[in-house]
Amino acid sequence: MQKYEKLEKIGEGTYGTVFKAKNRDTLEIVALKRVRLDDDDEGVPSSALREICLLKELKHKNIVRLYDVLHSDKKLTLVFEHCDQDLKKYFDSLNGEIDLDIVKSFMFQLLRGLAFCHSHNVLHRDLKPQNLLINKNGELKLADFGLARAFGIPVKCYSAEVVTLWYRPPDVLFGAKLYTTSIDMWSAGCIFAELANAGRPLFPGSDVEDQLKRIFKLLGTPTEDTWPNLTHLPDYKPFPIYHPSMSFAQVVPKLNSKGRDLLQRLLVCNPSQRMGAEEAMAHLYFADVNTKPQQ
Amino acid sequence: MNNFKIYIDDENAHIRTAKDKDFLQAGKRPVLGQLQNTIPCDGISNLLKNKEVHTGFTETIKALDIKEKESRKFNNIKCGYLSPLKDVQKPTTHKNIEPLKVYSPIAIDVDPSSSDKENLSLKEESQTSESSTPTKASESIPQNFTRLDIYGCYSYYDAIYKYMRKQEEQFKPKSYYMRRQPDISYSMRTILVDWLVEVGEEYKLHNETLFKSVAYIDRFLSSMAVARPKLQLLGTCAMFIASKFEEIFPPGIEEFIYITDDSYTTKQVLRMERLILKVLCFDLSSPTSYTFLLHIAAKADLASKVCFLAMYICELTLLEADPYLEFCPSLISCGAIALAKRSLGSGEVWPNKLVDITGYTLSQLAPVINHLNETHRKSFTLAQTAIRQKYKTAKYQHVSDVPFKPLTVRDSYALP
Repeated sequence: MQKYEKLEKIGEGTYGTVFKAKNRDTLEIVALKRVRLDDDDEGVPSSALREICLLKELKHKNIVRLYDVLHSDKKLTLVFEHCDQDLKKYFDSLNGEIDLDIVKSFMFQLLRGLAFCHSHNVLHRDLKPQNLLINKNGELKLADFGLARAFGIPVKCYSAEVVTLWYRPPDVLFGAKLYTTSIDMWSAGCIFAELANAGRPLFPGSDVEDQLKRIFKLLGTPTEDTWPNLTHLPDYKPFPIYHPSMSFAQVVPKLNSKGRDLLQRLLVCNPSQRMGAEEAMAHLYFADVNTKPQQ
Repeated sequence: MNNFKIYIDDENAHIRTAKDKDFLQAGKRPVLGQLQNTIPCDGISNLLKNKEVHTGFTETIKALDIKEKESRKFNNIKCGYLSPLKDVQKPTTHKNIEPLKVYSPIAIDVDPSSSDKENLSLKEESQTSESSTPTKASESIPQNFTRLDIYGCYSYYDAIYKYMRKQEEQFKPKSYYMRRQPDISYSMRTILVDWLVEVGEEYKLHNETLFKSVAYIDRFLSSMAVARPKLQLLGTCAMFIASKFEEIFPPGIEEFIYITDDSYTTKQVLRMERLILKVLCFDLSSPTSYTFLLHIAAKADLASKVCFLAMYICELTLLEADPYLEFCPSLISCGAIALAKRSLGSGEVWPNKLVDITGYTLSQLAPVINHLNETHRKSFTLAQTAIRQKYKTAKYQHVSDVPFKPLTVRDSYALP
């Protein structure tokens, strides 16, 4: 690989290793994601195919930019714009304190990136702090589209094995395969609460059952009344009827009432009632954000 | 050329369903041309000789520049199996050597010397995996066309439609590319697509996967010349890629090799995959007429039988490269909807609601409807029967039996 000089290993993605590297011509710092291709293998992994194809189309300041793809018979290398850190690492550096303006700014950028994906027919499906990159200018970018896919309308059956457990919505936890943009909106809600609490995860469940229990303890157990056809979901199991014991003011004490209202509209068990990205951006909480949604 | 023989395989000419146990045996076969596996593909070697292939998205791939003026005589092409498409002087009217009378499942002679030991061992492997294959998540699409409003992406409907219309323009294959293909013809492409339909049924692939595969093939052939023995490799590989993009559980590479009756090796498939991805620049998400059909049906509240018939008509167009390459997928699906509504007497053929949703008026659809009329009329006597059999099933409400009823569009209104 002549064009890029490898500097250091940054980490492991859903597939392949990520390196920090320098473009020898322009001296620009980039991130290289390298996928090894073996002769007896299945060729280019589907996650890589989707990530390349979808990211090529998604050119937006809140979505990590894919510059180039190098494809040889031994390996596939994706060349990305480099960001200094991810949201997870940022949280680790905070010591439990976060500026509420930063919370608002990051949340707004997350929603703006998501709205762009959703209006371009793409679901991210794996939103979590590790997949949100942050650069020195305080810009937030969605990254790691390894699980992303194009959704048609009407929605098709997709794999229920998506989204890291803590950020997985209850419908998917119950095995729902028909989902759309609402899947990302739940994750966005979880991340919003985590931002407001300076990096403390909202629902750190240990398995599917524990995950659902944590969710229902906060939001109340859904019923056929609040969520029609709930009991017909493939992996539905009855849960005890929890009544919310904690108010949102206790869950996210630092967030103002408008922020809490937005959070409550994102964290809705019934996917059809969950707020969309575009709508969330127009929420009063963001009334004082001066950046206009970009095309 | 002289080696190309087609046998009519009477044994396999009976109606087959996906449940037919004999299918795997019958369905795996070389579809086109004599196969000479051992000869390296010079065309690819040249294209891929650089160790790193840069797919800079703005870069054009130089090797693919089509020099319109530079004409090459047929026999000058020394069969690199694949090469950048050059303008070949060939009569515009195709004298198809292969009679269209052939029955669909055709067998083509394979050079017995081409199956070497390596192939045999591959075969054993794939046969063991055979039993585990057909349990795939089955096609789920058609049951409910109006589900989207429950799940909230309704608000993005128009934005997505607009975006898909932009995409289809961007990734349109070149119409009449076949005139410049030195070694393959329309009828070979038709046989290939018919076979892909069967493969899709056998592995229970989504219809979208089939439509995408054919789109990849046409886009590839728009800029690359492919020799006859490699056309099936292209088709197989296009479907391999489309499956990985579309399916939750795509069939493995060994299954794709198996269905070609081990005509190709893993290495050849992987090389072809690389080449296709390079030529298509990894742009795999472009919408097909099937994508548009579902999208429009979701909002237009079409009767499910209308949808299935429109789907059937759209799928029939896959068999013919031209004239349909001239039309955008959205236009084809709209034409098919209008024709389906007419054939089933399902209300006004092209009501204002559909004009609003799609942005097309009936008079804009007129040219494509004329072709679709002809395609639907011919479907009852077509030699390639895979699509017709597929849509004869209850799953698709037997729409391939719906009688043909021409729709004549004059000016901006339809005559009853």
